[in-house]
Amino acid sequence: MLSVRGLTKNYSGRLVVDSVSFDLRPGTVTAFLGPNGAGKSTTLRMITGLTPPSGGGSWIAGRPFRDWPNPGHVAGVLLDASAVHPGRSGLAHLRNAAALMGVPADRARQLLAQLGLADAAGRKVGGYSLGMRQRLGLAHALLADPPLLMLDEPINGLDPVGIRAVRELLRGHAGRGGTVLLSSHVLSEVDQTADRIVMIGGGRVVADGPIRELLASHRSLVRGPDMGAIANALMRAGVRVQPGPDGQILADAPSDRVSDVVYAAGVRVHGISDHQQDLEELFFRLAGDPR
Amino acid sequence: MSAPARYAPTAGPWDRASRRIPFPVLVRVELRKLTGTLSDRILLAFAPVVLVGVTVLVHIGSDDADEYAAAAAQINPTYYGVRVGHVLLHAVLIKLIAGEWQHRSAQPTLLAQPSRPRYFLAQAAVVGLLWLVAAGLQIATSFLVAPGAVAATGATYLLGYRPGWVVAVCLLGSLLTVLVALTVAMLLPNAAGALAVYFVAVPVMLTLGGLAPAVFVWLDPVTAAATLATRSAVSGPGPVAVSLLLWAGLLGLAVQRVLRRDVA
Repeated sequence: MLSVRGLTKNYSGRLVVDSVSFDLRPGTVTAFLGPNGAGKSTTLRMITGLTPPSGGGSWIAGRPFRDWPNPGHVAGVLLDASAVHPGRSGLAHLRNAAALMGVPADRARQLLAQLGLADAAGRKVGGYSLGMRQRLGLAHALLADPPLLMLDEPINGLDPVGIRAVRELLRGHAGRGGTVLLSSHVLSEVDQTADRIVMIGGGRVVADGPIRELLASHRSLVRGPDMGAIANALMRAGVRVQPGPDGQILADAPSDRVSDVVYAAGVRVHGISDHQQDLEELFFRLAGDPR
Repeated sequence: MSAPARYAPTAGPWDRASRRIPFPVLVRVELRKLTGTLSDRILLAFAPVVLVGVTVLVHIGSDDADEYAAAAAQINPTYYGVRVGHVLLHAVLIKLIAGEWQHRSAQPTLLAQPSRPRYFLAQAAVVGLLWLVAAGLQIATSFLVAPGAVAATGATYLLGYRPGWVVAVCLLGSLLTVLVALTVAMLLPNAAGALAVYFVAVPVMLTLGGLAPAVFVWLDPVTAAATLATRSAVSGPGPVAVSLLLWAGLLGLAVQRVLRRDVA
């Protein structure tokens, strides 16, 4: 659906995005993660043709975004909810966009109602809260019901009800075969919404894959009646150990190896489980300068 | 907030995405934006008043038959009307174009319609419409006000013998002034800044034209219209060519900026 190959952006000798490549497949929600200034927004702007890349390219269903005569039908994009003229009404903004995409004008009012902005439709956007602007931006992205959604921080400013609605919207979109690229700093939300992660740090992709696979630490948690004996057995076998949560031992080996070691040593255990790092842990581990 | 219902598609998204939106639709959207805010509508409502008012005021200031002795003198109020009377129309235009970049509303526009040349041409079409409106109003005002004003001083009304000349001065002069506004709006992606520059430039150019006409004629964007109206301080095609080249170059630079500007 979306292929990004070697996208690079150089601002006056400063490398902001460095050979970023990834692919998105239909039916998935991919989280685009990275610390502030990592190059996420620049990458999204290059994909959509708003910022000319210094190198590389991106293709949506085989064509660059800018080469689609009417790209709103292939990709709904929300990059910046505040990029709306504050003196115009939400309805006027959406009607203009609907006209540019060749979508019936009624669709604007329909989406405003569905996103909870019916009462504010005629009000100036300058008077909207951040959450209302996010909803307006989402309505803009959804106008032509495109198969690909690219959303930069779509839940900023939304209340818990709005966040849940966006989560359901994105999961529903992927469930119907759509593709979602979601940039967010709210890692707990990403954890609940995304199937895959593309993480960028210092302008480069530092992780790309299914979220569960990336979260797997290949370490194990062990507990038993004699924790000292377990630790000694593991260390004798060359497995590094450290204190884990709830008094358990965190062993630097997969659970099947730990099981073999303690069985061979004749040490009793009450439980061995795979240790899963959480997304925050993964984020901070990868967010450091990868070079 | 409930999940939006799907827009019932009649064809695949790829087909719809492959169909270019007709150019008149783009122009219609830009026209809607032109009147999109209350301040735009207020400016548009008062723009004809100022345009007509400036022409009338200059006529009122000329109450001596000697001041209307020649056709060149009789076209003077029209010439000044063209120079300063269209400023409010130009202000709306500057708000439209520079405001799109200042408020970054160019971003959703370019996400829906990513061709910058088409976006520029749609805005240029709106500028063209504004030019025709301004020129039309100026022509009508000139032919309605000038005969009475000239006759009131006891002079003979001469412009009636050369209506094509009056129309040409109005068309050319208003085109050149609207292009100045367009150039400023495209070069400065900030509506307040562009308006400030424009509203400083108009009186400064008038003042310089009065203080050092033989020098400023080479830089004045309206030199071609002034020459046509036989009001140029330097005769010959030199100043016209230099002025046109200078301002065409600035306009070209502005177009290039718009076509390549990073939409943050």
